[in-house]
Amino acid sequence: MIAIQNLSRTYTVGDESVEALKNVELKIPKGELTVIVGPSGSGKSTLLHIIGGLDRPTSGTVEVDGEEIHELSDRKLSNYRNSHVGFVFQDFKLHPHLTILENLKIPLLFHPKRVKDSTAKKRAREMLKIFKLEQREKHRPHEISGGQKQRVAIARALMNNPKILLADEPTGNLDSVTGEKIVKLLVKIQSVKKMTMVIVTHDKAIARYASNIIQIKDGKIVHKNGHKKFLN
Amino acid sequence: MYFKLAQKNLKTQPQRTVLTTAGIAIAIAALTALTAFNAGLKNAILETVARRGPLTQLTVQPETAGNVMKIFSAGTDSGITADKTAELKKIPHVTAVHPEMVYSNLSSLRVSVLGQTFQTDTMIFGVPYEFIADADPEGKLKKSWEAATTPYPVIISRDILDLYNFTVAPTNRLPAFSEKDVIGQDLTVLPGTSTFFPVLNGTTQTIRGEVAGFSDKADLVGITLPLEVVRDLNKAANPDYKDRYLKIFVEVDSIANVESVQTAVEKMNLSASSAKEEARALEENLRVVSIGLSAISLIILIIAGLTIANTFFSSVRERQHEIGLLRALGATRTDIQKMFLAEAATIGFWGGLIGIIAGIASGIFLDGIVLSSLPDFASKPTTVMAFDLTNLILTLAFATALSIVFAFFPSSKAANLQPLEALNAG
Repeated sequence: MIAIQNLSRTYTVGDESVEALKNVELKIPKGELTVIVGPSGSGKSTLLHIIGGLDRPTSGTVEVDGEEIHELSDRKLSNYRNSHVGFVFQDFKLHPHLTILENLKIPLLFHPKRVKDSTAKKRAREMLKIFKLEQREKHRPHEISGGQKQRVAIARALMNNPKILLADEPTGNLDSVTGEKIVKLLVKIQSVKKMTMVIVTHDKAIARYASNIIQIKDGKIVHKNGHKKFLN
Repeated sequence: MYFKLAQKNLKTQPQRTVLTTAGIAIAIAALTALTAFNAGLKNAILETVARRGPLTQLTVQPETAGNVMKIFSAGTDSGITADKTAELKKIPHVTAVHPEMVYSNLSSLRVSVLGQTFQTDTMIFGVPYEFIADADPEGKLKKSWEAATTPYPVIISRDILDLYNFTVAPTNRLPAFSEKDVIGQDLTVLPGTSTFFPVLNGTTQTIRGEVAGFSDKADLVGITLPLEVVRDLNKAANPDYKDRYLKIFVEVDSIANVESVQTAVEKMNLSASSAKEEARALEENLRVVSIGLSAISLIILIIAGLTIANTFFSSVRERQHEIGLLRALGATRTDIQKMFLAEAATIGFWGGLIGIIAGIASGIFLDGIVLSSLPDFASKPTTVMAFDLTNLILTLAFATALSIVFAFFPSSKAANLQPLEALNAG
């Protein structure tokens, strides 16, 4: 369960203050697929980053499985990002100078328990096999297609068996056919692993599979569980 | 893990990595060569001092020593007596004493070379064999020195040969001589005969001698003969003569005890000087050179260090996105800092290693140039570069540490980047 209370996030751009999130109150159920929708600049990515521990709120609280992550030290928050959550980004965010195998190894290398390189390699190969990418092991990101890049990114997000998977516009950089395949892959992962998955998207195809849909506008939640309304 | 990542990262910017490593390598090469030169100079000085006698040796003289005219009287009344010599032997830690006797009259030396006969004033010194054993590495001279039969073996100071070869020979267009050329040369010694003060000349007496070798310990202002010969000459000049010595060379069991023996000698109203003191004085003079070389090294190293800092600041600026990505995937601030410091250590290590190799190579090259530009003289050092393994290892460690220190602030900057800000950069 992700419980957000009175959450605000204000950025300072030059002399101006921009309120990205305003007093957000939200509960995201455990083990379900939740989709956050809203127009560009509405604050949905900011919300996702705060849930994932990539950013801190200006005020309010974020509780993930009973732990108040907004109060964690930098080290503990790093460990949370490493072991508790997996990120999938719109632009994949793969390390351009590392091979696909090495990209997959990164989360294990920074695991608080310091996994051996051989163990990390073994686990990465298993993931490549699951995602049918074993032929691309030694390729670099620029040598594979967009769909393959996103599969690598999803595989990397799952390397440490996180409890939560956060995806920010995962189909945004893909054509509709590839996007559809990625959506189905994410849905399958969620249903098999019964993990908490939060996806920020404009894509109604993803929303169709969601248990919960949250609509956000101008930094405020406008609808919670507004499933049918959004689809209609 | 950090070093593996560091290697990967360094390979992605080959040009920058090579240039930064080269910067370190040049600085370390200069440091290696300058340190070796400094140590080489020190060694050359110590070698020169040690040639005249080991560092465990004290030269004991009467307190009146230094006055030229007193030197002659050292053969008669003001020299060190046999009793005092025996006392010196009894000082704790003294292992041996070698007396040097001087013939107490003016003398001259006649020699025929290049079809001409030259005669010059000289002093005559007498020493036991043990003292000039360095001139006789094969031990061939021992028997004739101790037997003291005519023609008497004569030992000459190496510095005399150098003086002749570098001053007398070139100005008078005479050929230079090597030690081998001179060994075996017949000499006629004229005790009591002076070319400068003929009025002091007594009865004409000649003794035959033959150059038997060269020693760094032999006195510069004359020839050195077996002790017995000089004793007999003194007795012939003065029937009441009793042994008196110009100098006593006192051997001490270890360098650590030289000072205590020196104090004991001075309590006997004798003056004592040690090679250690001489070496220390020369080292003191060398300190100015050392400070100069250290200052040059320091400037080069600071420049190299600033280059590293600049490179890493640029690297951090350019790799913000990568830093953000690693932070997003769970790298802590410490992980990021360690990753950058591992890169710095890698550059420092390889730069240091290449620099040391280049420093040794350039040192050997410079050594050849310096030595070939110096004329051949007896005390010419065999090398002016001294490479010490411990120093080289320390230099390598220093190069690595230098890189780490100068990369510390850029790496801290990288570590303190906010994950999201860094991820969205670039």
